[in-house]
Amino acid sequence: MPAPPSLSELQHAFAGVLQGNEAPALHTWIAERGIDPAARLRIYRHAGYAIHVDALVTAFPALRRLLGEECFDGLATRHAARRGSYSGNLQDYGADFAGFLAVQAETAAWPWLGDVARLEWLRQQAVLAADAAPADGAALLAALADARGALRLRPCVRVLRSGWAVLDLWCHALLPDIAAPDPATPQAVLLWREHAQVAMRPIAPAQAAFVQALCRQAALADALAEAQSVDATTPAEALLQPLLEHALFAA
Amino acid sequence: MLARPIPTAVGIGLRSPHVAHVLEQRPTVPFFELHSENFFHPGASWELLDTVRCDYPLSLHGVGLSLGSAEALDAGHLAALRALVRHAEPALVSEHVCWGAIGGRHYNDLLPLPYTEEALDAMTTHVDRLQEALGRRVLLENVSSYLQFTHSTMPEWEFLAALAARSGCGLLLDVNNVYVNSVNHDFDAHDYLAGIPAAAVGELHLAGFTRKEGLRQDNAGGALLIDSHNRRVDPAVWALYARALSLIGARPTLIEWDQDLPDFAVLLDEARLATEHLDACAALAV
Repeated sequence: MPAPPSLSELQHAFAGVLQGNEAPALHTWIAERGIDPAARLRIYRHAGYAIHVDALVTAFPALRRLLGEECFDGLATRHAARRGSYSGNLQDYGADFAGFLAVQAETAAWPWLGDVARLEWLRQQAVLAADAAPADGAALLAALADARGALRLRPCVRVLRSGWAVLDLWCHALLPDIAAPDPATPQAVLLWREHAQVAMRPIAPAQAAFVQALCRQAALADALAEAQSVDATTPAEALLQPLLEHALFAA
Repeated sequence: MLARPIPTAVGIGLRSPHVAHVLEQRPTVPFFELHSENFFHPGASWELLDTVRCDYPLSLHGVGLSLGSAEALDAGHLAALRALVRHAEPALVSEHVCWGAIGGRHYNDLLPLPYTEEALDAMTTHVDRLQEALGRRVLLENVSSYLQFTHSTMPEWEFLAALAARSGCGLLLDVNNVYVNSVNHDFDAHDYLAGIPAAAVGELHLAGFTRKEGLRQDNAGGALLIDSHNRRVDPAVWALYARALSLIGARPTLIEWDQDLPDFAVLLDEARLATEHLDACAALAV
């Protein structure tokens, strides 16, 4: 009879089973009582897959509609086995799902799916981001007067620049009255949180470049320059307009 | 805001499909339990947390700390829990006697431990660190399991009792899990209850299980019970709950229902049934 495994050895072997491997050496240390130890371990493997699939179902509802439930759940199960989770908080699970989809054969015919996944993950981030009060008018005017200063956005603000009609695809997936868009129309999306819900709207490419720069805490002058490199005809007030309209500057 | 104490009454696990109903109707519920991890990000969720804790005593129940891991605790997870507990000031904080992470990867499940001195040392070390980080006593819950390790050197209840004695933690006794394990591992649930130090028990949990048939090779006919939290409490668990109350005494009790959630009224009805048991226990104590 070999010596029993240490706690570390046991947990690493168990973890291997949860990732889809076999661990016959572990079976010796599992009481049968009429049930094959491998069958007992499979209960945990399948439960683990189901936990992670459920988390992705919650975070990626439009993607699941676009792929179909069977295809999505199959890909999600594969992701759970191969990539897995690196947080004890399931709200953090799925950050790499868009990248995972990009290299799966099933999705090759629909190259826009990756950006729909990225949009849904940004929605998750917008929900979870810390809160911050909007800037008042005086503070905002002072900040706008300092070209080398950084305008601080509320932490929930996110932006996605896509070569696909990502927002229209998302709406079409979840809202039955929205017609199917031409996927090949580039779209940029501004996201933020409003009354505990995620709000989204399409914005111009230059506006998206401006917001992206501010999200990186670039100086105002640098953010303006980045926007102008995308479209030199967009005036500064147009770049600021969606952020002012939705009170997205932070105090 | 000072923490509102948990009464010796029957609370309900508040899950997201019922949040709107609860905020709108403000039902009479002695306390709510929330899953800690759902509030680790201080975004929109803290608005909900603050609303709930204004009107109800609160218990925070963690599922992801992996206290039984052979490796160090996830410092980020512990820090997030600490920040949450400081903000929410819940009356109770609880976690599980299990592991769920190893080698940097998390399995987000309540995985079984071998009941050995080595595992007890690991649990005790991690519970010590948790209680030190939070500056308070926590309750540790027994989990359901579908396998037992043959190199365990003590029964599960002895492991729990030793953990409570060594770390000073309290116990959250899940009566459904005791019953599930008694069937799955063929022991007498009454022995389990008798082996639990009553003074350490700070809360009881009740939930429903499902039967998984067709696994047994010996045609013994028995099913494996799965802790599914998706149905009403089984009559056998109600009987064991009555037994637990008579042995341990009346304790705050929680109705857990996490899958296939019914109308909130069904949870209130389960709480009513549990309250009848608690009242009967109180009457006997007079």
